[in-house]
Amino acid sequence: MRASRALLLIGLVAAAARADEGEERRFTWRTSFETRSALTDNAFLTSNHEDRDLGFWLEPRLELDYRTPAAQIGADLGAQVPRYLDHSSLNDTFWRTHVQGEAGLWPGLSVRLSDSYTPQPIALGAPDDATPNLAQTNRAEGELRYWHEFSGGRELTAGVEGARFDSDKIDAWVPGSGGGAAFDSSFRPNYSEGGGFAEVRNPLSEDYALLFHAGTRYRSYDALSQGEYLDAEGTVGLESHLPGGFDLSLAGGFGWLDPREGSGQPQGLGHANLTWQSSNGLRVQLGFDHAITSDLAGNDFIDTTGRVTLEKYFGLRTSAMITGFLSNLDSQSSHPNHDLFGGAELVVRRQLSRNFQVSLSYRYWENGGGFEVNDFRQNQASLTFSYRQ
Amino acid sequence: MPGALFLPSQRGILEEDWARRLARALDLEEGLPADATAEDFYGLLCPEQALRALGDESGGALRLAHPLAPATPSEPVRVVLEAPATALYIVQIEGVGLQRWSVDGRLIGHLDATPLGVAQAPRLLPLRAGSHEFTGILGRGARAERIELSAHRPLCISPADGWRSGRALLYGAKARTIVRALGLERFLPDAGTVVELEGERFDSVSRWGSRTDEAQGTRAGRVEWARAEGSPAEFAYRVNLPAPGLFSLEARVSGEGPQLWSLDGRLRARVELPPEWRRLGWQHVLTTPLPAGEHVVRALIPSGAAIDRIRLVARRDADPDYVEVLEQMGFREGHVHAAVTLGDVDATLRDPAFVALAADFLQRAAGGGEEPMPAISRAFTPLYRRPASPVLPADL
Repeated sequence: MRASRALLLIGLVAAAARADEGEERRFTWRTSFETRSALTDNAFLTSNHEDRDLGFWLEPRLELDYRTPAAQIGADLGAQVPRYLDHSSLNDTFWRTHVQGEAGLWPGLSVRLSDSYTPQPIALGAPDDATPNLAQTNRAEGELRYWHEFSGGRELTAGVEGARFDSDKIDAWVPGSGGGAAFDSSFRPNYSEGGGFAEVRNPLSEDYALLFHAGTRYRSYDALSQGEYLDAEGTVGLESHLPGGFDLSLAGGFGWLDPREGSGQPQGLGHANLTWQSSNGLRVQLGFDHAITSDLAGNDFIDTTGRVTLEKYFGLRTSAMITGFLSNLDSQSSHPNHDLFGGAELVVRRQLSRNFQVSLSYRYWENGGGFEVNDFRQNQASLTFSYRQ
Repeated sequence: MPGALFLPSQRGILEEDWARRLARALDLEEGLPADATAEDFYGLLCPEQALRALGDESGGALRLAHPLAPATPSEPVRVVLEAPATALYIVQIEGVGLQRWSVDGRLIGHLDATPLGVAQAPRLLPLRAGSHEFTGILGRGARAERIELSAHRPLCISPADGWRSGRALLYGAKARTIVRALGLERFLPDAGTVVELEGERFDSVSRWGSRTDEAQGTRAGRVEWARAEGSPAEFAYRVNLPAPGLFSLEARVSGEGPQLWSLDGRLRARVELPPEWRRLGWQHVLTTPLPAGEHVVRALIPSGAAIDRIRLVARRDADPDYVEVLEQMGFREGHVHAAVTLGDVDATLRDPAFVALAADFLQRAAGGGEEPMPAISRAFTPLYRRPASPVLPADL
């Protein structure tokens, strides 16, 4: 399924490209390649069976774009090919293709279509570059968007959107008969969803804007009804560019997630992002998110995540960055429990030439908390070479 | 719940607004009054356009002063020079010795006129039209005999046909201005070397310049080059361009310290060779649009420095070529004739790669600092990505 779909995408876009190369250079393409060597002490992300292994990830990529003043089509076609020395079960091939198009239908009215055939992390709280936590998925989205500018620079954006998500089979605990949980080794978390949103951006000055957002969405799974839910949210936010290189974004409000088999309660939502970039090459980012999510059994969770990033440039070619996050997932079900996980990474990057970059990184990841089934610790060191045409 | 905070602004942006934001990002506002007009920002970004608006096509706009020596060694040297238009300027001092200069109380920097007998200020000066007081503190034994203030013409950050108020900013113009502002023109596609000269085939030379046949290493293919013997020397070369276009002047040079290059007297560039630059190597001098016909390249190099070859490389400079340079770095651009939104502008000006390259613009544009290098996207993927489908162990 994977190969045929990826080849079909390449063929469709390549045909369009050949027919439309013009003097405006509407069609552009670019290749890139990344190879990553990763030494890990816990290749299977388990608490009791830590397996050291050295993996080589090869990631070729081809970006294609066709653009006119009123419409654009783009394709990002690639693959991820992990090869491990000691555990062949970790070897796989993932396609990473993203095709998207956008066209203006009428002043202010546009349509956006996209299809992402990519590997996605399966479980919460685990890294997305470990084969055991990846599944090939496809997400097709469509959106009709209307945008209007009022006097004073106020903007209204409203849209209706629908999406279809399909996945390869994964291992998952799913609701079983009699209210218990059953392990399904060939579960497909496929779903359809639809919704709408409206957003108002009200500039207070060149550097400040007040924003209002309201949205709703309904998600329905093919294989089980317990995970279906309706959510609605309303948030108010502020975006500001402060003197001294500070950028601050704040949003807060309420959300309501109503699972079919449960009973949702309104919950507070909050997001904050602060970035500071100094002229001497230091960049600091702080982030905070407080949101609601749901599992397949229809249980609500409060997801709270904090992030910090410090990056320092040494000249124009070298940078060192340390980043970390800590996330807490609190169950709102009748048997409250929580999952706590986090990670930290140090990355040193060097631009070797216009086309080549090398980076060396070390990462520590730990999943702990009251829920012990998915606990693990992992140390990983990576060496990455990137080429971009 | 959706993870992203809010949608970026979809409002269009006008060229005058982009010029103001770009000037702010490049730290060019320091010399401007609070009520600066769009023309002031256009002048800062493209001195050539400001001077053309004054009717100055000739390469004038040069202001000179011969300061009197201070009465006592501890007294500063003061001169007043008039900037004919709001623009970016470069100051050049003839004299000798270590000196510290300021303009209107703002520090320009330290310079040493000894190696060449003349020195350019270490950074460009954004100056409003009008009179400005230059103050120099001279070290022991230092002299400032001639101070020259000239608009920095080689740099013109503007859309292809210049800035126009009231016109919507398009991606082609945005890319062109960013690539020029970040000093990345030499990464535009190479359209071929149109002129290549041997350094020793100069048309004129000052007193201390000469040809040498000294071998440069055992495997050197060429045995002749121009060299400054014992003292700084100026070499002049005539070149003929068959067609107008954008050209990079490059030179294969050696030596230590600053070199002052010019094209037709008015397009000036300082090349600062690092201390480890002992052997001959190619050095980018400047990239600028030039008309067809004869041009004169002059190079003032310090004692012991050499010029082996000089070449003019034509660059493709259509708007899509500039877009290409940015896309190679990972910036998402649009069709060259598509309107840019305010959200796109905000994203560009806050991109870490842009911020890193835009820092120290005034020093780098004056020929100092590290050569700019387009960076492969510095947009790191987040350390933790939430699963697209909320698949959790059911007993959590």
